[in-house]
Amino acid sequence: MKEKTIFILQILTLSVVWIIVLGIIALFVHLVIVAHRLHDALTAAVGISIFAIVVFCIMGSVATYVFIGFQKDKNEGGRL
Amino acid sequence: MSNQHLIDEDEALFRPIYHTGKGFYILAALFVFIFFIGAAYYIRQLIYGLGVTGLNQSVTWGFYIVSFVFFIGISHAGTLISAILRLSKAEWRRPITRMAEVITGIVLGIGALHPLLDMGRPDRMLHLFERGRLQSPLLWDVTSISAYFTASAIYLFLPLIPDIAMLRDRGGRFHNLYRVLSWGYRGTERQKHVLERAINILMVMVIPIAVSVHTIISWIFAMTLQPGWHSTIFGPYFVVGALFSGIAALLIVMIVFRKAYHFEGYLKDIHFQYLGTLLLIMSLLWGYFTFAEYLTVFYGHEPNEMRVFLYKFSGGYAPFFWLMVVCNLVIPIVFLTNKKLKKIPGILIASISVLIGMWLERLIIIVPSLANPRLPYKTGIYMPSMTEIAIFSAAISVFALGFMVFSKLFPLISIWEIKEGREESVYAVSKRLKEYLPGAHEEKSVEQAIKEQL
Repeated sequence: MKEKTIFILQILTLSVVWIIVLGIIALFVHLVIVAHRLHDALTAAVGISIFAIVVFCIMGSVATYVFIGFQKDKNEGGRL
Repeated sequence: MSNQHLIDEDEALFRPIYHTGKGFYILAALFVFIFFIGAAYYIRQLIYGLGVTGLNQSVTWGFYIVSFVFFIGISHAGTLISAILRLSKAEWRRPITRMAEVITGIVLGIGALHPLLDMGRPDRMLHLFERGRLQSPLLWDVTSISAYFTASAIYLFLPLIPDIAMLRDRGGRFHNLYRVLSWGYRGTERQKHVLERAINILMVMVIPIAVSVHTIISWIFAMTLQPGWHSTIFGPYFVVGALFSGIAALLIVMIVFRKAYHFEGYLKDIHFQYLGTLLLIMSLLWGYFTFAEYLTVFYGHEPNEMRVFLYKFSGGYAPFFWLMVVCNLVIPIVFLTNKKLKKIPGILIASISVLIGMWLERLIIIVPSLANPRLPYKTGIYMPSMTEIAIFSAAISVFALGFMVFSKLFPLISIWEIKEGREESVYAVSKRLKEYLPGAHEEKSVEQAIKEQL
């Protein structure tokens, strides 16, 4: 398999994490809007959403940090 | 010491990936067969509805929810135990962490599917996303399980990368898969640093997430006013129970794969002794929580609570209750406090007993409360049907199958961590000793003492 294909597939594996993270963010934003529309304890919904979204974003960021860190060193040819 | 030498030294850990015996295929075929039987029963349930199960008007939660709580509990084996051992720099963790993390990944997936099985119309799950209420513990549960699953998957994958890179460099089958999954890792100083930092962040994050998962599962029950469920200690009680069953599951997996793949050189008696002691501590803690929970109910003597209490202690569920006490308390204490019995076979018996006991504990928490509601109904009856038993067996098979497939793709013991342990552990431990041991400030004497001990 060509290097370029491998790289695209590697980006796809990282994308899986971000698809989950973005899916969760979209879900929570939607549920907050529903809570607002129904006047149904909006503050609790916002509080829970903020907490959950931050947790998922940190996880996505950690995976991205590792991916970029590895790729950077691969391209620069770091010390073994 | 060259890398090649070390890889050769750890060849036993690569062997299961390259060599597959006849026994593997026979077992895999058996598990696939059991899975298909379960799938057939599930399709039948989809066609005819929940009437094919033992669930009824008063007992609306049975085998499926019991298994849901049970499997999610086992998932604590993995990431939580692995993170705690890493965080506390327990050097003996090295051959254990990978297996623990794999258990979490597989079991969490199986457990999370169980509420879907419990729904006669699984398509209605979409309502949760469409019109869910964030104030509901059910949605907290979906959130915390998703977070734990994502965190556990990343936490399993990141420490796996150096091993995947080794497999990539060795060539052979699945070479392209390893090339993709290694993310370009070559083992440079900077890459190691990046990986170490990421693992450190994740292990700190994973512990509160894991604790939150089982606390929130307990709140599904405790937030209601049902007798037997409305308890303030349910959160920690469930977390302790989850860790307890998790350690037992981890021990069973370690013993089975040690025997199957000849990992005797890596999973030594000392690992089983340490984990056995942890299991004993969790058994006593579980006993304490159970005693505290039931004593307060008995002392309060509230009529509705007492109906459930007596149903468990001397009524229809008494055999299950007392069997649970024997499995979770008596057998572990007998086998884990006696030096002669605290060997691998004894630890295996205690672990199997704990898993049976913890499954019964979930059953005893869920069914008696539903069978004895506050409303003036007759006591409900619940008998699982063949459908529920077949699906439960299928779930166990998927777990075994998942573990077997994983072992054919990736090393079950973290090779790079073993290697790192050989190279750095003695120095790291001696440095740590110097930091906290009184009178150990003289460098020579500590190193000498360690050498002597080794």
